[in-house]
Amino acid sequence: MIVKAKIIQGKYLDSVRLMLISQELRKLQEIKDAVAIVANKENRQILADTGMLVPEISSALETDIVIVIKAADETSAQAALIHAEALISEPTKSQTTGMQSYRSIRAAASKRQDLDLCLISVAGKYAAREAAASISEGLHVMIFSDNVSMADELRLKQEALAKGLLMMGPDCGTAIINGCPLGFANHVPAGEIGIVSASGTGLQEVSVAIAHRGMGISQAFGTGGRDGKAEIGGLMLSATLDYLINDPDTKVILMIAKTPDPEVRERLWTQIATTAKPVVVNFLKPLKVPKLPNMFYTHYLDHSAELACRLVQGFSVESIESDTEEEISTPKIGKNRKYIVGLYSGGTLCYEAQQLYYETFGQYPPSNTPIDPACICDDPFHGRSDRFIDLGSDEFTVGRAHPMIDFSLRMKLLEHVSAQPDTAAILIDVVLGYGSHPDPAGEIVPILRSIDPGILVVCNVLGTESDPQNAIKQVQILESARASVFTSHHTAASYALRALQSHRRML
Amino acid sequence: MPHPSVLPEDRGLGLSLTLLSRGDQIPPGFYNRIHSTFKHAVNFHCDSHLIALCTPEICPGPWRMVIDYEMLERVQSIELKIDQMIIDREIIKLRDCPVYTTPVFKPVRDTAIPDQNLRLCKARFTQDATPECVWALAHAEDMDFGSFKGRLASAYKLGYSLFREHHVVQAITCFKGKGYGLTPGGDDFLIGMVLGFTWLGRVQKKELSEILHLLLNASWSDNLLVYTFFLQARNLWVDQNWKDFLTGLEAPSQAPVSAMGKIMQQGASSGYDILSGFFFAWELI
Amino acid sequence: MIKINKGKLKVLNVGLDSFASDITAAGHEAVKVAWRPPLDFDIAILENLNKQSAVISAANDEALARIQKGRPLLVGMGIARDVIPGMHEDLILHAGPPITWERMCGPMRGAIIGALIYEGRAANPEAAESLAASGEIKYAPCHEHNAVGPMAGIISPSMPVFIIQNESFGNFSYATQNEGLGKVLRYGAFSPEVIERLKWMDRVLYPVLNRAIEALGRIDLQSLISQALHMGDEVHNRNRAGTSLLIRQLAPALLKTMQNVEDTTSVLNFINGNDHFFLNLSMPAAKAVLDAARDVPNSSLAVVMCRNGTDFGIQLSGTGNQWFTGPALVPDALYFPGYSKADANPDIGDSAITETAGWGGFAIAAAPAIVQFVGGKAPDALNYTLSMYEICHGENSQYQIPALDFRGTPVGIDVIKVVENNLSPVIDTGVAHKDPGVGQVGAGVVNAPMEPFIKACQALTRIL
Repeated sequence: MIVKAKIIQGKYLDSVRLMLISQELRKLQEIKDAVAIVANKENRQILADTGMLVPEISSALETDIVIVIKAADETSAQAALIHAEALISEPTKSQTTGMQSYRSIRAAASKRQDLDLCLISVAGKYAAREAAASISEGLHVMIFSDNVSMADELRLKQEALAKGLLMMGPDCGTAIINGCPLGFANHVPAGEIGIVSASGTGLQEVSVAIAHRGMGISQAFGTGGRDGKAEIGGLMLSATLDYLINDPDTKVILMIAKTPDPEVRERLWTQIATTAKPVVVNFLKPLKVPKLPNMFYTHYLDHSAELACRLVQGFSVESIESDTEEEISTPKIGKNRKYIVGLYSGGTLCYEAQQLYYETFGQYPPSNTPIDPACICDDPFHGRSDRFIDLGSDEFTVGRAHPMIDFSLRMKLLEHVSAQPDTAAILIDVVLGYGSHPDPAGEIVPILRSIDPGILVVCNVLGTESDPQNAIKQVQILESARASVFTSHHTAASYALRALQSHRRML
Repeated sequence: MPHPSVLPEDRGLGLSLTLLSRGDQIPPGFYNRIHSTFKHAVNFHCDSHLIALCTPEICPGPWRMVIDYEMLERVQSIELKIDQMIIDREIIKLRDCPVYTTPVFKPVRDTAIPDQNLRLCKARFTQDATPECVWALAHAEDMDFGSFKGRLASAYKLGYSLFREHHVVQAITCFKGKGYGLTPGGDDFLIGMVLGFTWLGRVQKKELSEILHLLLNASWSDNLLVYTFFLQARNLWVDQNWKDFLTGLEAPSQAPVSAMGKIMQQGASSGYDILSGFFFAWELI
Repeated sequence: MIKINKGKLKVLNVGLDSFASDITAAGHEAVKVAWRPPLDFDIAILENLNKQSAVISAANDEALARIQKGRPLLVGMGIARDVIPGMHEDLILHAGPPITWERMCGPMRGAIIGALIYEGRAANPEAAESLAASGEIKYAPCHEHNAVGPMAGIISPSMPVFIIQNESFGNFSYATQNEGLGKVLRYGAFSPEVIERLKWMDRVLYPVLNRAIEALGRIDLQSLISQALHMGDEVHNRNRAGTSLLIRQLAPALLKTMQNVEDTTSVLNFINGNDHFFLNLSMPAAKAVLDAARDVPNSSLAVVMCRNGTDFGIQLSGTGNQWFTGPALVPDALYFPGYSKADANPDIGDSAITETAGWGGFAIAAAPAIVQFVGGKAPDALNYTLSMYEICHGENSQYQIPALDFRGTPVGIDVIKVVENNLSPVIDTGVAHKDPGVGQVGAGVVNAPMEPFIKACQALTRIL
């Protein structure tokens, strides 16, 4: 008989596992006995009595667990010990346990013929190749990554469409397909409105606005930010529009994009004219559009959701107004304060805020992503002016994660801006949903609480009750820190701007 | 849009953590002396015993915080404040977190109902007992005396008869420190006896109060896990499963078999071992 | 027209893990790619090859079929000069890709010196060395002569060799008899004991074995190897079962053909004391199997992986006799007490032919015991094998791995997959001391260098 022992140090297991290991070992050939026990003096006595107290155990502490094996011969004992090692050092679970993992797209596709879509978020340098591999395997593609060349984008979209596949992106942050959230997406109910969007946050805002009105979506496609350019020719905008036109589950279509190039627009108008299905179009700016019986244009996100919902229900689409247009008499802003600062994680919301600013004050505000190129804001930290900052823009995201996940820069800016004596109002978007920070409100509330009460803090919470963060709870938390909270960005920004306007009239 | 090649820095834990329960016997404070880390629990030193941060497989208890998080082995410290708990760098609000209330048991007066329930539970227990537990080993036939298991079984067998004959000190040595598992089965058995005697509270007979006295004075503090359970047993600061079981024993309607079932699922044989001791205490009284 | 399947979405996630968990949390299915960036070289090459994937795949099917059909048999023994094609008096064969004397590492030079003394071409080491460097002696890879040799792999004209034939295709392969461990020729030793032992092998070992093999007619190496894999061998670093099975087969014939008891006894003792004896049969068996798969046009499967202690070289089925090389690496292995990586010679030997055939490191899941001796843990054994399926064209069900539910070993290394996945073959290898004649100083499971595979891909693009 050969006896071998192994002290398990630093690797704590639960008792079930220990028992299973002992049972497993006892099943091995030529193993006469195998136990997993605490190496205290009482158990050592039993080991001694049964001839199993081998010298290796002497260095064990009274509280160590030891596995002792009695085998017919050296080889079996050795093999059993190794087997025990294997059983002990099972890798720990991670959040993605139980999820199958493959070395490559091709390997996955060959083993799983039922895959639908490939979501790619690796560095842009490699994304195009992975997308090409996916398309050749017959998978729809969503490229979350940016930094993919225009030439690659065009080629990939052409290849995908030739095979009847989606190629959403690059730089596509949001999509919801068959109710499945892809990238940053909110939990919205199923319904009859189909969305096509070149903007991630835009898609989020309208999908959430639709949910707030008790309606739902059929599909929400992202096309990537450049799809509307002449070089890409609106390939995905057209293809997904086409899909929704022919989709029996979609009753109303909603399309959002930064204004596409003229020839792309022309093709879209022609396409929209071929169907009777209502199409709500929002290119984020006021625009002259052809009069088509089924097409409705607005440049406000909230209004586009409202329009779509009314169209589904067959209500009148006349006179969609912004709620609360009345003056704000006591804007609660400290006397010598002057400027409004918007700190945005969503680029489209920043854009909408600038548009609303223009409509309030007659000119565009400074921004790092300005609508009016003359209004470039060079120094968001120290600027002495109104300014709207898109923190998701490239210059801020190098070396950091996206501001929807990592709040560190926004918090820093928030502290800085709120310490400036001429800051009058701060606009913040709080974006919830899958992929975003688990508790954005909780994260910023400590700073909010310490902001001078003379500063008007306005937040829009983009999310639904069924999002992981629960929009209702988030709103409550923010309100407890004396922020003015709204669930529509349009309402939030309008409110902030009108308060500022009143305040300025009083100065 | 983001540069996904730059991943968010490891923020410590993950998405949406919820604290599912916190024991009411844990004083606020900062705990970072880790005693042991298991798949389901991280134990921190707290005074002379241990408190645990554990996963929902383990039921709530006076010295436990139950959280839905799997990677306990990464946890380095916890800080308990009035309204929040901080695990490493992650803040968890305690506002809606249920508090586990440690039960207070009055002494058992009318023994008819508990007796009946105990009878039914014990019958069920002996049917379902795992072959590795103390009761099963003590009642096993044909054990190979040369094997560890056989040796253990004969020790337990001897211990049972010694207790019955009131040779308490020798009886205790038949169990103390011996057996399989992270908390040796023999220790769990004795804890069950302490629990049984304390709860049944009918230690009128002088020689039986001596058993409890000797049990309480056995050396418990070597193994902190065992000591923690011992403290809970002697003070009846029991956890949710035992709370359900014990209150169920006093209820006339139905024997608390399912609560007992939950106890039996604890550990590999810990639950069975403690029940072995508990039922034995009842037998002796 | 875009077509989208109805129902729960099944998403393949390539990149941020959190997206996958969100998808699962929302009740759909996510599957991950454990993604690694591809090698930093000309992506255009891979793209070109991808375009030809149908042609290449068909060629690989053919090459793989030939490998799987291979049936290596030990059919006899002979003297190198008589049986090895192209062997002549001034030729010395060595392990690995082609190399000149100037570039040879210490152990290989030492082995050549020993061989020249053994051949009687030089009286002492100094004379041998100057002869070796003189240009009079020609060097060629064993592989170019249908042969293989472990470590320095030196074959000189007078050495007895095993003759293996691939029954399905008729081709032959050759290897010398394994000398044993410690101070032996293949580690570069050339002391009088080494020469003595070589002479003994000529005089006693060879004739005794030869007669027994003749009496048996043939020994089915495929059968022995399959059984050995079931018994904890991977037939590269662990050959104990194979050696035992061999003796079992030979024993009756040894008795039957015994001429004197002392010789036969010493042969049995010799084999019994050398757990690696079978290596010099598993290697040529692999060689014979793989040689039959050579010259399938457009095939990207590797038919040779070998090292000479300076370079690591591979050959592909579809690129004829072209060698693709890169520097041989010093293995990151488990070193025996008293030794470290500083003492190690770069990777050396033809024994990587076993991995090329889907054994050795590829079958290490069958030999968890060896993993401990190479510094790993038992689950590593399974993972090494499992990862190799990703770079192989297929599986060989002739050689099964019990721990993987008797799945066939991964076989048919596809250089394109190697480069695409940035994953090179694992080789379960011994490590030689860099000074000649010291012997083995460690063992480990190492990855082959990528450079030869990249070069092979580049060559493939040019010919396709």
